[in-house]
Amino acid sequence: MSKTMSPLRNPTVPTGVRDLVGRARGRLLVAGLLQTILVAVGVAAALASILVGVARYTVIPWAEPVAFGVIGLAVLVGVGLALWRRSSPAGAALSVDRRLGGFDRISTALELGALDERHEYEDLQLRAADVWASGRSLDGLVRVVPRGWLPRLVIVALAATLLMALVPSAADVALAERRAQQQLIQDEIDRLTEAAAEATPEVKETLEALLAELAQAETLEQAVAALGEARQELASQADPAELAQRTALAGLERRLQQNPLATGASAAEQLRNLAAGLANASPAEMAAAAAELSARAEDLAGIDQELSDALAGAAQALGEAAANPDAAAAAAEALADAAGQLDASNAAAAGAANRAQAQADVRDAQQRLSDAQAQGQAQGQGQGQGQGQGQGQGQGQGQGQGQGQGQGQGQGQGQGQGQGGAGGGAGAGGQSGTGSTSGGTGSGTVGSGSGDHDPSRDPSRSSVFDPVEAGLGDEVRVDLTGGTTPGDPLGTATGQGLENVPLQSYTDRFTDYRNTALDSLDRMVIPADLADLVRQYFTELEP
Amino acid sequence: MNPEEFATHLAAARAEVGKVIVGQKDLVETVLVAAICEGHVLLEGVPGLGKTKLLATLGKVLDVEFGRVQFTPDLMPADILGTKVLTGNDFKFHQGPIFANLVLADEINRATPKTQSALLEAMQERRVTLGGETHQLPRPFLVMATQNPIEQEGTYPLPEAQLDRFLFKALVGFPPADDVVEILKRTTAGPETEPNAVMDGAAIVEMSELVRDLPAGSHLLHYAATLVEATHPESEKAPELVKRYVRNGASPRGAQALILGGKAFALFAGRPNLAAEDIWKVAPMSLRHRLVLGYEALADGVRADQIVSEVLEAHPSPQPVS
Repeated sequence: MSKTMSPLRNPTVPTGVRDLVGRARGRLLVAGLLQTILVAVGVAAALASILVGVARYTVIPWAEPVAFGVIGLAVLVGVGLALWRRSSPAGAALSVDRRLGGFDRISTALELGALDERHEYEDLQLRAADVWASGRSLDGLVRVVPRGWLPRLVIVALAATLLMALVPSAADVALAERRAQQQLIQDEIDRLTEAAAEATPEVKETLEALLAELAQAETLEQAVAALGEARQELASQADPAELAQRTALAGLERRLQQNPLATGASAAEQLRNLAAGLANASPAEMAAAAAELSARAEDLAGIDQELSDALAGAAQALGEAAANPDAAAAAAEALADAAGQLDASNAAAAGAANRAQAQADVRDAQQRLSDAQAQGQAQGQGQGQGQGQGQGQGQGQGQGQGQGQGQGQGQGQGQGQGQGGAGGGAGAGGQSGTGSTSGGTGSGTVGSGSGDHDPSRDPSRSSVFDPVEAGLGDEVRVDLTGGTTPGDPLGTATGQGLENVPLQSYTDRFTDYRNTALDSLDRMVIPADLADLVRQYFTELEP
Repeated sequence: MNPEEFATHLAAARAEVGKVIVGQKDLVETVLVAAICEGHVLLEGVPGLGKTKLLATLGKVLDVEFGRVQFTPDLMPADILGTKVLTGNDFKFHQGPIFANLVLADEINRATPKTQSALLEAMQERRVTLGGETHQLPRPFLVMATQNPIEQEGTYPLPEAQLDRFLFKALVGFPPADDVVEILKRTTAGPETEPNAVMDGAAIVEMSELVRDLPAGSHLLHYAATLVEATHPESEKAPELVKRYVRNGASPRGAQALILGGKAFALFAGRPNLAAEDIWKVAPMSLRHRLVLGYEALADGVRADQIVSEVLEAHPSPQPVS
């Protein structure tokens, strides 16, 4: 008996029987495939429609992918099951016998055909089976395309799933917004990752912690909050002395750009070029340079004492060289020393610059996400009122013109704080609202200076009034109704001068204001030229 | 003899029996098939339905030696098997009525168990042992018994071993009105029709051998075994009805009856192979008398045929043999 050979390939099995069983097997497979897939897809589509239906009312980000994934998986499972359950030749023969009225002719013939020796009646049976099988139609064997309620049910379930998936719902919109927010956050993560790669270790640590928080953030609000915290942390890491040093070095560079000692793109280069060309310099030029360097040394006194000393030494050497040409070499050496010290100071300030850059990057990221958040809120609230509240804070001093800048939507409120003289401040209103609704213009009140008007009390401005210490609160408001001429006080202070109030050193107060202002420059979005203006302002006011 | 000739012979026999027996087509076929299989048949039915008439007619149609024994409570084994009689100086064995090709055991359940048991050896081994001598019975040897299911007074139910030796147990039902009218026409006016002999003992033996030679797929042998196994309450294949009401299931003789009877029916239908449909057809007559029902079945009115139907429903078709 040829047991290893498939009966469908066994030549001793009648051809008609083999052909019939082969065709029946194929038909049963196709029918089984369709039926199994239909059942599997039907179950999957029912579950998917429920899932997608629920997702129309609740944000389920994975609903649609999972729903269609389940349907796809059902198809695969159906195919797998159908192939696994595929009829064997004997099974197909039995199906033919049962469903086509074969009375076990085919299944018996399949078995007898595999026998090596057969007796008379077995051969007779094979012949009879062959005759019966030849040309036999398989129409009644099995319905290939399923009919009835099942296919209809599957079609309905699939259609319902597709319909619910394609027609957007409020949950879909919310989901899309969430994804957009996630994308925005991811964009910022990418940018900050690049920034972190170039940051100093301390800044890098802060940025990496921020990146971790951003990765966890699910909403823009959370991301903005995380960015705000990071900014504060970066700001807290800043050493006021570093800040002052950086400001002073910037002032030095700017000053020497405006009033160059010699050719050169940077102050250090000018110093070196000056030293190199000292042999050809006239005494008058040396004296002028010495005066300039002396002035710059004074600028840096107390801020970068080493640099100040080096500049002062160079100024002194230049002065001596102006009087005595033999001292030119010593002056050149002093100038070179000063240039070297300047390089060292610039290098030291680079760390602060790096932190400032990181702060700026974080600030920019926060600004972008805040804008996107505001835009989303405006869209969410509809196009209409769009009025919220923002708060601005301005600082004024001296001349009475301060600037405040608010963020947010709608109507802002500026607060000004002034000090000294006929102080007046201007509070800038909040930024305009974004989206389709323009925010109201902020009408901030202006902080005004008050108090110490009496020149006889402090003609040298060596001390300033400290309202906080005086227990008068930290602001005095004035009405901003007057003062249309630039440079004039914009309003009249309603406060009155006080006698015998606590005073604080002007230098200390100035330093506080300057540091605060420079810190604000790092945090806030301010055009570069205006930022330079503020820095210049403080440089010029420096006592 | 080939299958076509087999079918022709049986059809002729059925037609001849039909000249006498009105209707009862299935019953006639059952009896004929049992005869072809050289199997014994137990006919059960109320009196007057033609059981004895059928078997007597069958004897004439088959043209075999016919012996009839009317079973009564006082019937002794020797009355069936025969006895030794002193003849001259020697005892000579006088054959009883069982030494015939076709033995009609009428109202078999009226005889005592002792007398019923006298048939055991004869039915299974086709021989009689008496006084230390064994006497071979002729071939074919067919026992066709009848019993009345109603009258329980003075009857002795056949023991399981006896029942198991019957290839089939056929139930003789009341004929429909049209058949009764036909019976009346045939029996109340003019002479009764006499059937012609269309076969003989040799033909029956030849047909019996053809039945045995008929091929049967192994899946059908497994199917028959499965059906029998399913009649056993302890089997995992047994349906609930079997587990609840059957005390003992069918013996392997039941499976033999399914296959042999099925083959004969296949040939009767002109087919050269056994089919599941043949097994379904013979399942009730092959299995019903082999099931030993518990008292719960009697209490709930559950009959053996219901249980056989349940078994067939539980195993509706043969499975491919791996």
